[in-house]
Amino acid sequence: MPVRLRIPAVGVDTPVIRLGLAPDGSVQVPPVTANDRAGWYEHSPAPGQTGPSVILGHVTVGAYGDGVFRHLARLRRGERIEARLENGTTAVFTVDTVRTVAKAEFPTDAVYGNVDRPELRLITCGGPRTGDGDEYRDNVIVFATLSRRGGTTARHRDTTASRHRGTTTSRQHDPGER
Amino acid sequence: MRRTVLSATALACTAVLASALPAFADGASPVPSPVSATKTPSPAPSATAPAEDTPTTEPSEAPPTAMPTEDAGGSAATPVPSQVPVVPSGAPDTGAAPTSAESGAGGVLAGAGAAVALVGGGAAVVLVRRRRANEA
Repeated sequence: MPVRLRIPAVGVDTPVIRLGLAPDGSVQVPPVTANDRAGWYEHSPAPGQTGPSVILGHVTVGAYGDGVFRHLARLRRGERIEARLENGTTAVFTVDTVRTVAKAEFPTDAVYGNVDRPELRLITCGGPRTGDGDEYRDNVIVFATLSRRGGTTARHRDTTASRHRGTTTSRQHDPGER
Repeated sequence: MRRTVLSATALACTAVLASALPAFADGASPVPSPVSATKTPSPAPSATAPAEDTPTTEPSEAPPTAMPTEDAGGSAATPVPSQVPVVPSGAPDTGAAPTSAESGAGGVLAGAGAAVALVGGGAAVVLVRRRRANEA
């Protein structure tokens, strides 16, 4: 199980809690609290195992302001995501695509479907608010692939993160993305 | 006398030869019959040959039957165990919009501003009255 998630490019460094299913069959989300955290969907593989590991976080947490994934949509291809596991090892992922999709057209197969390598999905909300402004219309989904397994040093992480930040300009856009 | 003996001997030899030839012929005839018997086995091998053909066709048919079973195994492998055995329904609701919070904060700010304005206005009135009192 992952215990911590780091995304240097967007300033994320958060503990990871375990999430299951809500009574209505949807995925649970982290509680709306001041100290917002990310959550790992417990029926998905742990980061580093073959399959799509799914981690969710809020974009905003109501009266508490920004959520832990507030700037997730700013991620770009090639940027790094580090998931530290409870056994002390760290799985390092590289962003493949960042998609913003309407919740009504949530790509269940692309997110939860089988894959032939260790991958990571980061999910939050995005897009304009709907109705009374209480809900977001879209989901922002980051698709990433395992690039390295094992422990890392802070210096290496910082240099590689800055290198990615300086060189990556491409970004995958969906038709629904703004 | 000699003639008689010689003629008898010649006759006997002739008789022996004569009897020997038919005996040979008879003996030969049974031999060919075994030959015909060998013909009989020849059909037998020919029968066994088809029998061999049948098995050869059977194995050739067997692989196809094995193939479907492999296919069945492959089709059984198609529903590979899902890496996410419990797939959630719908889209995750990962955004508690801060609108209500903002409106609440705005209300608090408006109330505080009004209070400050009232206090400030009251202080101004007091100051003006004091100045007027001092002037008088």
